[in-house]
Amino acid sequence: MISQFYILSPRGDTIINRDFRGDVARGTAEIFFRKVKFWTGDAPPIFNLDGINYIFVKRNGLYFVVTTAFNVSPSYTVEMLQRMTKVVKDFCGVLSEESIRKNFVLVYELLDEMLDFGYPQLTSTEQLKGCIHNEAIMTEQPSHLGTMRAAGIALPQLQINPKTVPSNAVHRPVGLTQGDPYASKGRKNEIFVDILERLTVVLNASGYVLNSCIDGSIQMKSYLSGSPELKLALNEDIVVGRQPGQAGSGGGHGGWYGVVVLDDCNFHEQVDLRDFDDHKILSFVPPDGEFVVMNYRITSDFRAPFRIFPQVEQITPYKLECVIKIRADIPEQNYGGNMVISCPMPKHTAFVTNELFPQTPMQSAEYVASDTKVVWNIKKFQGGAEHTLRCKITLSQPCSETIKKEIGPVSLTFEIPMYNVSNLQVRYLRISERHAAYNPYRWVRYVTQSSSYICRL
Amino acid sequence: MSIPPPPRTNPVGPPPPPGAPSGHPSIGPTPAPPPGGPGGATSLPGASRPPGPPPQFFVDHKKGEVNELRQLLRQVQLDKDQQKKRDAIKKVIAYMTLGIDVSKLFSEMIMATSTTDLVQKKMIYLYLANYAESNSELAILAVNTLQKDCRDEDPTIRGLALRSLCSLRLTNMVEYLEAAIRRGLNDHNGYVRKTAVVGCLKLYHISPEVVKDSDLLSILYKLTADGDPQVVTNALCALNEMHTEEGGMAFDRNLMIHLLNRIRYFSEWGQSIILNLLTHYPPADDNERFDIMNILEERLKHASAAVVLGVTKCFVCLTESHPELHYQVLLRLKDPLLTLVSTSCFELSYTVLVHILLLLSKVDSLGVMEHDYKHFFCRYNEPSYIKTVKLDILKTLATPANVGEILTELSEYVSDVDSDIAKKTIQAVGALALKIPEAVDTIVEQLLGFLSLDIDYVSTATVVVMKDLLRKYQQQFSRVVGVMEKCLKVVADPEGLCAVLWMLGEFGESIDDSPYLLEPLVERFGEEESASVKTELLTAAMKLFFKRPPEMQKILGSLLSKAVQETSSPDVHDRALLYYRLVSYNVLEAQRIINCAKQPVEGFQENVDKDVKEKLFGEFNSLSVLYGQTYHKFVNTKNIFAAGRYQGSESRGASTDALPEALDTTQTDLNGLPAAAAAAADEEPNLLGDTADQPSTSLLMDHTHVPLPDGPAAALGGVGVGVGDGGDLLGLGGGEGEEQRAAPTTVADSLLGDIEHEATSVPPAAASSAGSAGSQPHPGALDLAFGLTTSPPPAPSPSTSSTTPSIALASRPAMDAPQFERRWTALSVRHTESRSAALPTDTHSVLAAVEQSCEQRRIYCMASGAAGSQLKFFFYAMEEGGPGGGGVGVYFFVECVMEAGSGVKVTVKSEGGADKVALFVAELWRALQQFIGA
Repeated sequence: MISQFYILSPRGDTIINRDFRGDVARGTAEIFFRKVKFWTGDAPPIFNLDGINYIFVKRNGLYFVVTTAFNVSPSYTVEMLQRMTKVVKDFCGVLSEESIRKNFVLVYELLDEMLDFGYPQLTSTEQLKGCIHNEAIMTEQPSHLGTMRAAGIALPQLQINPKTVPSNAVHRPVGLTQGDPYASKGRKNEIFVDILERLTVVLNASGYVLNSCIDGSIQMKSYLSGSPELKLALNEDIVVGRQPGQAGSGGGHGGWYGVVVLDDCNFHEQVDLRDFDDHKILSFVPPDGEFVVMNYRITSDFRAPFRIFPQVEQITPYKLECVIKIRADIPEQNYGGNMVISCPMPKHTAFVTNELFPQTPMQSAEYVASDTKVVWNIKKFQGGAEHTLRCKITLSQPCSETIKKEIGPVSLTFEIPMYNVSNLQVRYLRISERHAAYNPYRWVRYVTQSSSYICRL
Repeated sequence: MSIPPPPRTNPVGPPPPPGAPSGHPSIGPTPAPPPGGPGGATSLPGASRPPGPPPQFFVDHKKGEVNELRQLLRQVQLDKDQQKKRDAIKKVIAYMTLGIDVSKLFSEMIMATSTTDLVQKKMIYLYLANYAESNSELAILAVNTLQKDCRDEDPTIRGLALRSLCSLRLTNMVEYLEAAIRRGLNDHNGYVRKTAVVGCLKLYHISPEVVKDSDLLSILYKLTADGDPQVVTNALCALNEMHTEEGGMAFDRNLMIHLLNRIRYFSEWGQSIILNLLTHYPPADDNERFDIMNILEERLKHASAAVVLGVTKCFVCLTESHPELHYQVLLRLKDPLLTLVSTSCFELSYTVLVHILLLLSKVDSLGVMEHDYKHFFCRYNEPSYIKTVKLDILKTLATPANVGEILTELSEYVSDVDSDIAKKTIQAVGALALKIPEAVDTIVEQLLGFLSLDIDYVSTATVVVMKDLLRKYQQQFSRVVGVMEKCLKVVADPEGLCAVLWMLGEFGESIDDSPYLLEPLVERFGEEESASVKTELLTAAMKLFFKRPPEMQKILGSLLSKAVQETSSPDVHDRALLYYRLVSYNVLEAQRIINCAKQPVEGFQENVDKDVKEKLFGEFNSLSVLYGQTYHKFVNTKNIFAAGRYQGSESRGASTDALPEALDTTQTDLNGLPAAAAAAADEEPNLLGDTADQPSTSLLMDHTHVPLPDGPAAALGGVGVGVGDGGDLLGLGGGEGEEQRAAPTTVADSLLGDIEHEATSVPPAAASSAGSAGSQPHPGALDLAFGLTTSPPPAPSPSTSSTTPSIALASRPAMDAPQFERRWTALSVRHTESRSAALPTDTHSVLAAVEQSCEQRRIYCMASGAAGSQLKFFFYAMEEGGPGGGGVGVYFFVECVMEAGSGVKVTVKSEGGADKVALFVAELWRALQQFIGA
């Protein structure tokens, strides 16, 4: 039982504002924004102010906020908000201030169907499609990669390959649209499958893995016509549930042999698991729009895709040298894209000169004085390759052990297209439809991303 | 805040003048002025005005804008092009979103309702729902169309019309509503039925009697067996909300079985609702218990956190009385919960983590995740609210076996960019030391390492933690003795300084140069701003005096005279006076009191929380868990619906119980306090002035230090604790402070009297044993006492405030609202205090009575108001005369919040000295006397 719902822009402007119950005072949007803006640290997603409970999620800079006077279930409400962002994205194509402003009547229509008197009603995209009559207005595709990465389903395209589709193919609204380039050619019958793995890795200075885990998910976005049943088959050697004390699995070494041991997994509510235990087949009728088929979690050992070897040496009392060597432990045909390596420097740093090996235009490094850290960008890090950064640090104070300790940790962010570390694989994606003519495009993609990838010095 | 222009896709008609919207608040639609008001009257003839008059004034922009829209709506009404109509209505909605009042277009919008275009219909109905309340006369006109649409062939239109009809919130429409809802409930289409069910609930809020006195309730109960899951879900929600007073809807075995068997067909929202209802169902026997759990187990595969936590709550409730089973259930829940933590978005992950923390708070549940501690290591990109919970979980999970690895990990977070996280990490390290004695050596080593990082906030936090640690492990001091001098240099804030001072006083005998570390601080005593540091310095010097008399004698002498003469803080002043008198009365006795043997502190206040935790289990999967408070602490108990359907089984009693229950809690808190205080006082006499003793003693501090009625009584309280007399403290919690104030005793008299009483009651044996230990400092102390008495006599010299414990306030001082507001925001809070209260329910009579009572004491009300059960006042007052007789006196500003259930809370701001504030606060409480503690 939600009382009010609003969407605020990053600057705090109210873009959408709907009061469902009228039992919470008006004007809470401003109170909320002020509170969140001036919170020390990150404002928690749930807080209480003067008896009003504020619950919000932040997506692409936008705040999706609900208020309630009741002692609601927090998980229920946050899931609700999450679902609302997803539905808005499905119908508007992208989740951005511009698209919501352009489609505000559509968003109101969606809200009206999704919530009645603060209780969730129709919340799935395909149920909603039946009762939504506004047409979506397309916005210009953002060329900014950051927003696409935030969506979790898009990747930069470095080469034009006839076997791939542009990553913005998934930024189409599911419902009726005005000015949709696809609409003129007739709706495309296709489905996108992403196996997305986010890595948390902590390495020590000698390259030993201290802590690691994989948070994986299989995501889909369906533009299929009709509602055919799909069968998604994963590799049969998947084992769910790890016994405590059991040694790490032999699998997960970049795509060779062995079993894949998942600590645990969960599924979308519509997935039929009858064939999962024996044959690792998931059957379901894909709902429209974006959805997560399955989430999984792996803590057994796996080969970290990048090894980092940092080294700090004192040259003179005022000069330190920090060498960071990184090796890509992935097959040669793969690469890490948009890699950003950052390493904090001592607060008494006067300046830093950087030397890069090998010297290619693909990489650059600079010292950002305002954050006292060195940021090193590598556009494309080929499998098997090795890159080195040598930072010559000049200090404004004579060096001490404490100053030396201020360097690090080295953190990495990257994406590896068409590669996953867990060895979890899609054997096939079958569409059980009678006609032979019914042969939609199936796009399957593996992506490995860094979640928290650091090396301590 | 700048307001962007409304989205315009296909501009029809002239665009609104730029900049005009910025004149309006963007906080949602505001109610329209009553018909015939200034706005309505002037704009109604707008139709006859020529369109678009040249705007001359800012106000005219607004009128022009709405009038233009009106013109546009009328024009397109005759137009055949649906798209143009759509665009015009869309514009109205856009303005509505921006917070521009478009309620004047109500009649035009009603005219447009006859459209057959669904897009337009939806927009118009949205408009109606927003403005019907303020246009109830005109809204009747829309009812016809809505009623007609309720009989439309298309179920979507039927549902839409019904939903909108019920959302108008108009009391004069109840009869139309009931008929439409009844028809809707019998509709063959699920969409209409589910809308009608929610309509019932809306009707209930407009007029509960209509629903209660009819058969609508029994129809709703029948609908819980409907074929459409959404209808069932809505029926459950509606019934539950209507029965909040009775603690939720009736829920029997048949319904339970029916819902459980079909739970998989429900949406995740429906499943959550059913799961929550299930926690209200007590299983008949163990077989049924296991059956329910077996059916629910499958739900744990669900990707929705709402469902998994719902199941968790069921499991927890079902196994409450079976500890063994409870443990097994937690083992089963572990993996799904951990998966949610790592694969969900941050917001959900946070929610789940907080619930995990609660689950682990039961001591016997720790084993469940003991080996999974690595899951709770922080990731560098996580928001700070997640890191904070993870730190708490790591603290809880630590055992002698894993503490080593946890400590290594924690030490990495100290250099976190977020200083708050760094501080919390250090506190966590300290907590681990208290929890796991085996790890103390490592931890002390680590803390020393933190000090060498040379980051000011890290050093401060480290010193504070070190102090807490030494209270339990006194023998560890030998290892930190070397860094004391450095500590004094690196600490950045009063809290850290207090901690160092405490250590200097406590362990001064083992620090070679301890007196000389104190000396510079004593010399700069006048410059020190923090009263708590001053008090701590006094205590430290006093303690050290008994340990190093020859070196300390002079230092203490000068400190005491400075403290007595120079300070404006009554706490410091009275503390110094107390020490001085104590020493001059009997040095041995003073030593026995101030430097008594202490027992190591075994643990800090964590145990106090147990009760709350137990209650929170009953409110699992609700906001209570996130706030760490039971629901009646933050939910408005006056509002019958506010108790919500997400209550725990424990709180199923009707919400009218909530209030007494809340009072009960306060009662036990208060009762628990004196005992704890007395115990603490026995172990640790200087606890009172030691504001650095957080978090362990903060509870204590609140009740001993702050809420005393005035200065002298505060000093008395200090003495009471200082000599280990818990009884005094107990008295101060009630109204005894009042009595003491009224008695015309001077501070000095009562002080000495009190001490004498204490001294005479000491068994002779104890006195003699103290005497033998403290024979050495005796002569020094006498010298000191002599030296002081020859200087200006300290006893009567302190400000008049302590001899006349009241403040003269001016009659009707000059103050207006803007000035009040300006000064209120400019000043910092000087004093806050809460007291329990028993407020009558009639808020209006209380408002007036409080204002009157305050005014009698020359405390004037600037503004007051009621929101729900909460009353809020802003008061101001001025001290009479001021320093120069006719000059302007010190102003006091007060915010006072009264709430049934939580009591009276006052916040005082002033630029006056602390003594004046204390006096004023006393006066204020006198004014509020009749409303509190009754």
